Amino acid sequence: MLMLVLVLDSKSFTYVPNLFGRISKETNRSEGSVPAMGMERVQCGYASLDETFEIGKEMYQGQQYSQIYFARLHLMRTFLYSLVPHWKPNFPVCTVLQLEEGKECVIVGTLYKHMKLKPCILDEYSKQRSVVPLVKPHNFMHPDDHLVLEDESGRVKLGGSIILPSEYVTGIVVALLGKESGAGDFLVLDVLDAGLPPQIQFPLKSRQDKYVVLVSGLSVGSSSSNPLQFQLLIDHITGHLGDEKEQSIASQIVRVVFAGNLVEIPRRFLNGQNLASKDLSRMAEPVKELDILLSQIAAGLPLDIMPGPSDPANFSLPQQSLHRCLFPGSSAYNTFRSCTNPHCFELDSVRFLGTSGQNVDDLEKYSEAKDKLEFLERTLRWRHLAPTAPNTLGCYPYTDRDPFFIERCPHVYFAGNQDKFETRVIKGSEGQLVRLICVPKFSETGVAVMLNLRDLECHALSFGTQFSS
Amino acid sequence: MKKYYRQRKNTAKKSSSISRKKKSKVVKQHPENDCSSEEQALKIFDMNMMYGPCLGMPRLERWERAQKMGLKPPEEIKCFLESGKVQRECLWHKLTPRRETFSIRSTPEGTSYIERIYY
Repeated sequence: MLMLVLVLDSKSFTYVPNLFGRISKETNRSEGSVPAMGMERVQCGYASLDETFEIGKEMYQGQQYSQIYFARLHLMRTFLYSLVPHWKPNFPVCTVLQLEEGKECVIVGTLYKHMKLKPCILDEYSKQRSVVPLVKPHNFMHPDDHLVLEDESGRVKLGGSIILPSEYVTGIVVALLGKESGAGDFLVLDVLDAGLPPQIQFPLKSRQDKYVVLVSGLSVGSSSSNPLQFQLLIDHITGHLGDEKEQSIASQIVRVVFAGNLVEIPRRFLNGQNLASKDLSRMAEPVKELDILLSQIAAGLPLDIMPGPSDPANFSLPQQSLHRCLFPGSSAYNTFRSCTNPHCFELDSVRFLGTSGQNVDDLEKYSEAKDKLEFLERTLRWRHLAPTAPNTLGCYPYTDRDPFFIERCPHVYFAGNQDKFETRVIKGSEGQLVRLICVPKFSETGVAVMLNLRDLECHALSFGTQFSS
Repeated sequence: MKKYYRQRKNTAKKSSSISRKKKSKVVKQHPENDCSSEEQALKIFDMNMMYGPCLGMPRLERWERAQKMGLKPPEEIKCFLESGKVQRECLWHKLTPRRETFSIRSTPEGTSYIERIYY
């Protein structure tokens, strides 16, 4: 017998198990508990702020990545220069080339982390392979890594124990107080990050409960994804499951956001060989299956989809929105919205910012922290979504701006495709409050995230399918 | 004929570093008397690191970017660029091969050769 189990975090809800399988869609109500009148879904104001991530107007003219580094340095340095007088009022600010031995001063520039184990294309040509292991590690850190600060005039190696290479990566712009030592290093005495950006105050007046569901890593088409689990999620969100109480909770869900890795195309189709026509149609099946599933949701409430590392979108960040021709069924609904990765939007003046996880995963390869939420927090404090782009993370070669610079602090900041559900609230120096969320991979964990817009409380929605003989 | 083969070393600053790259290319040389004062000013603008790297961007766009960032680039540079008397692209532009095509040219002696042209 097939038993379907729906489990909610015990904090706020009670649950009545339904042993009779899925409710048929025609009746639209669970047998035996027909409410007097139908339930209406709660509405919510939405504004998309993805314009900075769209590459429609950019034109590639053969430029290199030095342009985006210059734009980033200029943008952040201007800001850091305004902070330095409050931070260290008695020390002069100078450029790298103006450093004098023994003189304490403040320098601002981009950090570069020299990593011994970082894969380098030149290693393939080196005659001796003794130092570099042939097997790629998951994390490229090494005790000998060191940091270098660079600006347009020059670069200087950083020394001292205040600044730890294990916490930083290439691409961050910081201000440093210190002095040049005899050996030519810059001995760091203090570090200044940009800090959390300014935030528009969270609307505090008491409002009704409105929920946003965050899901990622559906991986439709992969062997690890369970279609039954996703169908359970869809039925729950669209109000086809459960009794009246549960349906009333589901009616308060205002939006679903899919944070990347919606499909997984089997590897054998992607190795560059010519495919037979039978294989070509098989390759498109995951997307077709996803379209059918998404159209069930789109028929009920607004949804946003973001591309991820395994989706048929461009590789480099910012990933452009998946084309609507891939979703002929879903895109017929005006509730269906294909968005970029990273994705920034506002729901009832609550600002959301999130990615499909590439920025956090890349930070994990090149630095260390006690958990993934700490990586998220660091990117906010550095005011940059993806500091390792373009060094180790693919990125579009912008010439005059850096779209990953975070100008306004979000209220909710999420990263998709993580290993487990984690969440925390962090506070900024000017009273900013941010809910950080790691959205787990649904195909592996069966967990989606439900966030209450009224107070930013967050809990897990866990779906399981168990077979008992 | 010599002009179309290996580039002669000349005293202009740029050629020593680019002569290696230009071995197989045929590129119009920059004779010294072509460096008008406007072109000189633009070369200085290209080399000034305050406005960022110059490679890969047309000069006017780089000027506009500097303007947008508040770096106050000299107005006269913009006038030179708009007048059309100077090169649109930066000093090092021809070193970054982009699109290339071939054309057949003939020498004064009557032989012909293939020239690679880069945009």
